[in-house]
Amino acid sequence: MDEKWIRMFELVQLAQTLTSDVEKEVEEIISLGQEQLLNREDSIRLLTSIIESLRKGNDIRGDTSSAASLSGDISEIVGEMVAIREELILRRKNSMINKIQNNRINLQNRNGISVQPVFPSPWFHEKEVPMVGGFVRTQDIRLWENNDRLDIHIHQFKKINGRDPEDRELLDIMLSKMPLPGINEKDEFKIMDLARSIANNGVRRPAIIDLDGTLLDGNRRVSACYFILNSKEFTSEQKARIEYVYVWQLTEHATDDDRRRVVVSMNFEKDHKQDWPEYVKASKIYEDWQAMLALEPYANPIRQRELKRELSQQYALGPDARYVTRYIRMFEEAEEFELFHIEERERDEYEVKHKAAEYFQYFDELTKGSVKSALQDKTFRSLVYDLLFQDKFTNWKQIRDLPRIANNEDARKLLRQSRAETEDIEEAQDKVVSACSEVQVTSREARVVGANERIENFTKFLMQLPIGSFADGTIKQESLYRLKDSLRHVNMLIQDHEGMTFEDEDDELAV
Amino acid sequence: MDDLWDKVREAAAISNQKEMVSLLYQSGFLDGLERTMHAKWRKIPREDLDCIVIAAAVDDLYEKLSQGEFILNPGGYIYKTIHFKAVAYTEQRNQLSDLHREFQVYENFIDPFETPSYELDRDYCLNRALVEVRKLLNRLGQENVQSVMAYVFDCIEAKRYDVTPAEISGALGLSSGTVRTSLSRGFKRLKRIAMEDNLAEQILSEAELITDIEDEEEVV
Repeated sequence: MDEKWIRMFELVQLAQTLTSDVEKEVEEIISLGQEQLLNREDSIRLLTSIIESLRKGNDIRGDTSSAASLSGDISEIVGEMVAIREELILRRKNSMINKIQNNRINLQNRNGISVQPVFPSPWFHEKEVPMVGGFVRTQDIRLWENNDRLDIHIHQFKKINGRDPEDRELLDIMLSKMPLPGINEKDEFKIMDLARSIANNGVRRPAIIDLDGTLLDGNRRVSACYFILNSKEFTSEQKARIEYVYVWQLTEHATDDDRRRVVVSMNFEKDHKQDWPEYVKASKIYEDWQAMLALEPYANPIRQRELKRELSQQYALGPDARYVTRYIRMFEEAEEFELFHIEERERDEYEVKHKAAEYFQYFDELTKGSVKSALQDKTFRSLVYDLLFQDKFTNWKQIRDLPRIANNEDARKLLRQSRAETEDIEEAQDKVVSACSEVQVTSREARVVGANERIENFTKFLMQLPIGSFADGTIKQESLYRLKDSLRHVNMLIQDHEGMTFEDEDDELAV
Repeated sequence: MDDLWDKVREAAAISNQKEMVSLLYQSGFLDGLERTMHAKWRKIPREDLDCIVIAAAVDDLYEKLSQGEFILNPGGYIYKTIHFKAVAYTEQRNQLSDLHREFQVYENFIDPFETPSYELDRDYCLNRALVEVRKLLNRLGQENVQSVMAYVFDCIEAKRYDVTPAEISGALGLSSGTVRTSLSRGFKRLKRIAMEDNLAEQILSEAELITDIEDEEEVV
């Protein structure tokens, strides 16, 4: 490119940077600076450079009045600025220490465990940070509002209410009880599951608190404890277990840097803990379930549901039995799969078990309504089990097409061809995809049959509908909303195809 | 934060440099600035960054404020000034190291900002580019887009390193939304027009070259 054009592009780029909004960046710079002040040496170097530069500028500009404010020995001016700030910091630190001392939470001895330094001292983000371990009343721990996990929520709360949330409100946010626009999840921070686990096992990893009881790590755990204390789901024994919790507390020598290190270490550095695979969890539950049934072989369905609930509580899966039921169902199907391959295909037991574990999520789909019915056909089931073992399914969603594939000879043929293909796995997987596409297309064709007549009839019906029926409650509100959505959808489709909306068409007609 | 910038403006207005620097330092702004810029411009040695870039940007701000210019966000002004100075510094360093490599002169390294000819060269190139860009302004369509972009390039010519949409809005009597849209459209269109013209110029010069060759062949 010609030099002229390069320069021109550079200029436009420069102009773009010049006009950009950097308010947020500046705010971040100030808060970073306040959190991480330069040390004395760096401060002196930077201030000296600035004052020298200003003096140089004054000389060039011939600005004597400005020069007067910076007259004298540079090191003295800089020293004065640094000293003022150091004094300010000291004053702030002292007032903070006083505040902390006044609000200090003292740890207690309990259950034969006395308050003592944590030994060896824990390390956080490459630094040893001494801590003291002991018990504290759960209600005395303050949830940490500066937790980054809650950043958006807190800002949203402040915007709506014009103030910081109180402790109770923070808890409501953690428990997803605070109605905040945009949050649809019932238990966003998964506190309920954690609470069930804590109710059974206690708090296993100690929360870390500051001297005044503010949490640095463990917001979810403490929220779960609060939830247990205030929920009817838990027994008084479970509540008593978490009335006091064992925590680690910073010492009075802790610095802000120590606090930051704790937060970084606990929230950014992975502990590499890995959950058990679903298959393993399901097998444990299934084992216990069989043991329960062995004790009560004649348990009727109501009793069985009770037993499942009990099992659910034991495994911290919540008060209802649906997870246990799901796991049992999946595991039974996995067993069928294993049995088929071990006995009929004479495969190695553990090779089959690994495969069952690998595709365990697929068994959820395989046990659902129409898929389960399709697998009643033994030949088809063998085909599906073979394909699953041979890694021919690439997506669990493909399982959902099985009922339609079972009734479509062309699609079934494709699955058989996939099973027979042992050399080229990708080719075989493509055949499964083709089988799914085959039934999807057929189903699409079935869906569009008589589309025009149906639309004609519906529009005629709609236009003949008495207007009063919209107002007198004959037409339900949800039907009305569904109709509105459909019409909006139609409008969008017309717009996409013709670049025209109903309004445009009306205008055109009016003309 | 507004309170800090008010005080900074006040201090500069009464030529109290010491107070201005002290305010920037006590607020933590200089600390954060040094840390951020050091992380951003790792290739610039820390001493040079402090002295040639950050300190110079603070002086630049002081000069503008003491001359009575209203700068809405002095922090933003310093931030952007540093950006331009750092870019210039890096460019100059690269040019000099090329030069040194060429002549194998590694001793007595000259500080890039000790060479006044560099600033002159840079100004010359900038002014030439400004002339070219201004020729394109009347092709930017809407009048608002043209006037907003003209204002921006006037600022660049005046070596103003910070122009906020709010300022343009006040100066031209347009709503800030219009200014933002005009800026976005203006930059997009400028780049597109420049691209097209560059291409047209290339095609033209190639066509001229072919015609010349053909003419020569005919003569032969």
